[in-house]
Amino acid sequence: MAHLQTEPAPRLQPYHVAFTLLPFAAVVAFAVFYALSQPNAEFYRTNAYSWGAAVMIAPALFLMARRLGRRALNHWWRLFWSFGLILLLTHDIEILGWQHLWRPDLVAAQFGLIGAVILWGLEAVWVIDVLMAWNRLDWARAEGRYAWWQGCVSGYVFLAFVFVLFRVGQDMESHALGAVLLLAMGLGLGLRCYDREEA
Amino acid sequence: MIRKAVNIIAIAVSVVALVASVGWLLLEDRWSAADGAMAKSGYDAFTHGAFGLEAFPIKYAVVAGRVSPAAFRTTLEDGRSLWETYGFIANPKAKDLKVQTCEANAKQWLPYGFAVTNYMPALAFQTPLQFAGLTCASCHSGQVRKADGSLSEPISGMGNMELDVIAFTDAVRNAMLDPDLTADRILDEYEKLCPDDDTGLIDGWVEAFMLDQWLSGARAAIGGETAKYGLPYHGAELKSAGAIPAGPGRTRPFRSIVRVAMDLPGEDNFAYSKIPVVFEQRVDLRPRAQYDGSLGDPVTRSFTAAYASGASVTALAKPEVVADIKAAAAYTEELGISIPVKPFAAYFPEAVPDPAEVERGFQVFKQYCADCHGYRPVSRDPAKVEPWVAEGERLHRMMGVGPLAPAEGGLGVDADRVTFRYAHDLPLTLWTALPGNAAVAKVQEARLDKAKNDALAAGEPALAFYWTQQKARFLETKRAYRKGHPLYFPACPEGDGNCKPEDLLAIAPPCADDVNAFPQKCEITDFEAFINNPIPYAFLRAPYLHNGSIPTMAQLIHLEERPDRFCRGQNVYDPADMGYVTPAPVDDECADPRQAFLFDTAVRGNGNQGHDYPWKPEELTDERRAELRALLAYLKTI
Repeated sequence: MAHLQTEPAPRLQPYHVAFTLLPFAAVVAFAVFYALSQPNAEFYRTNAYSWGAAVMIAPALFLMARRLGRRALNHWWRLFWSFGLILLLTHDIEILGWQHLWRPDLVAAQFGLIGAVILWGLEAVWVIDVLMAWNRLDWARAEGRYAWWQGCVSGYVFLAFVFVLFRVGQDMESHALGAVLLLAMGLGLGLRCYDREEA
Repeated sequence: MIRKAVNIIAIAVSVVALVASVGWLLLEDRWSAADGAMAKSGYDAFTHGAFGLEAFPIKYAVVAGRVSPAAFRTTLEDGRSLWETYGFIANPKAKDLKVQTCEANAKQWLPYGFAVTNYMPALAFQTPLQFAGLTCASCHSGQVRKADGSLSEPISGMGNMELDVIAFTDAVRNAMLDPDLTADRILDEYEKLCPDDDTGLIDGWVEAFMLDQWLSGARAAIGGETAKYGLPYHGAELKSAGAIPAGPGRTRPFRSIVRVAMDLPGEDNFAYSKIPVVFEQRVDLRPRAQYDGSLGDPVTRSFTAAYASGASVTALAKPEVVADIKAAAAYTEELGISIPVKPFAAYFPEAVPDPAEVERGFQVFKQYCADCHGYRPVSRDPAKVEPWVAEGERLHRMMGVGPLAPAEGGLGVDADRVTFRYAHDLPLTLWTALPGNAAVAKVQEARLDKAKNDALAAGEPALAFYWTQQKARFLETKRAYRKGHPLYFPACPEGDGNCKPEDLLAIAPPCADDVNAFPQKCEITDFEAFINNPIPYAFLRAPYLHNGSIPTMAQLIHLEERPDRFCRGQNVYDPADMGYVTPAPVDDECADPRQAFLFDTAVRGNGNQGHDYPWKPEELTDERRAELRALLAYLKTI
């Protein structure tokens, strides 16, 4: 925890916003416009939002794996993590609205009650996590229970995405993004170990 | 400084991209509202509904004659408009139109039975670009052409016996493949004709972009399918029976469905079908649709018709399209029952048959015909018809042909309609085109696996390959419709909360029913058979037999000789013989440009043999001829 206390407080800089907003906007534009060239635009758009969420959370998971409990999280993490959530929620609104006619019972029927609870649970804890990240002063230097919370939410999101991208997604894009998430998490954990050895 | 500039540029680009994306989604909502607002009556759905059959932008339709003259020209126009040449029914509102035809007034001049929607063809997302699309009424509405040159109002439910739909499709394909046709050219010509048509700045940009996208997409799709479809015919070939053997009033539905659903060439398909009438389709009167009785539900029938005509699975899932298909199917169920259809006497008051003759004919019909067709009691009022009585020993029964023909010979009609290649693979293919819910989809997948294994066991590895591909297509589609495609069949009755789709799997294809089983329960059958059904409004069913090979009822019942060759097109209706006046060709040619299609019954699929009821020609006596004349009189009244 020594690192945490000695690192300077992170400050939000314009480049943080610029270079997280840019991929977010690119992903949204891709989902909205590229889908128009696909045989089923609505379906493609729904998938593209979830792919976009995976793209956005990859750096956030990398940062979380490397830094949690060691070094202060930074605004890159907070922004990528938040934009990822926005894209997942958009994906879910499309799924619930377009594919399931705004009927949660049909979602439960599709995924099974446990699957649906896990899915909605994921979104609930992620929303809470993002709200806490934008409201708590110690978001970058979480300790104790909050640090556990952050770690558990990140692990939950990571496992859910990897499972869905490899098991539910039956396309190359999903599998590739699943691999990217594994790589990001693996790299983060690897560097975390490397940092410890260096220390 | 540089870092600051880079940040500003990145944020600016992001904001533009987000505003454009959100703006597009909001505009989509606005554009889709136009189609969503088309809540319709059954008639409106049938005649103006969206069925996923968008053909081309309205703006292109306005200028087609100017920018694509060569593609549509048949050399047989004879002063007729482009639409009339192909047999489309003129819009009854068009005669009141005193101004230039433009996009804004498209509903007043597009031919009868065209819809105006904002859907991009096949992709089925909405843009400001308006499209003209085919509806049920394009094919299933007709007119009675009288000897004095007059035309009746459009008759909903009658087949359009002048419509050259395959020729028109080839003409459209020609136009799309024209390398000189560009979006700019279309818009330039359009602006010359309709300079006051103000689209608005943003919609104008989007329209121009979408027009370009539509054209390049259509060209790529049509060009990419020439290996399967061949190059389209053009010029006089479009009206030549040698090139396009279907001709007016007929289609090749199973060639289409083999191409669309199975992605296989259909050229060796000779199942020519007259565009059928769609009166009184209520399931108690007509439990199975199609000439072969292969479809068991009016909604499935309507879905199949739209799908075979080119509507994509994506388009067929749109709520407006689903609603229109269901409303149009319900309309045909009541058309002629609670929704009136004018009887023969309304069109030919001068030729109303003698009531006593009609009554005698009714007795002949009951004795010789009602067994298969049921009957309609004679109405005391010639302006009305009595309800059809669906009673008969063989009514709704399958009549096998070929190997399935009964020992006494059966119908004896041309069998190409039901014996085409791949006929037995179509039911499962069609069923698995639309995934059901999760439980049903599992069974669909299992049946595709079984079909593959059966093919392997039968020594047909190529067919096994086909089923493997079909399964891949099915799985791909299933991903998009997790709770099942909205038009999946067999479907539970509306409002029956206790019914689940998985309860209906026993009637999902392939079924192992016997051709003689009654009633047939399977949702799609593939018997080499025709079905006995009622024949309401028989006078509007000419020419007769499934392939339209017999011009009049008098010829069908052998009161007159059946012609071997005749000319089809804009034929005048003959109330005496109850059918069409069809001139004989001279020197193997139909010289009249308006009746230029030479129908030759010797051509495969065109056979006019069979259905020798009540008697064969050699069995006729003077007394029987008198009975046939009475029968003809009665048939005019039903």
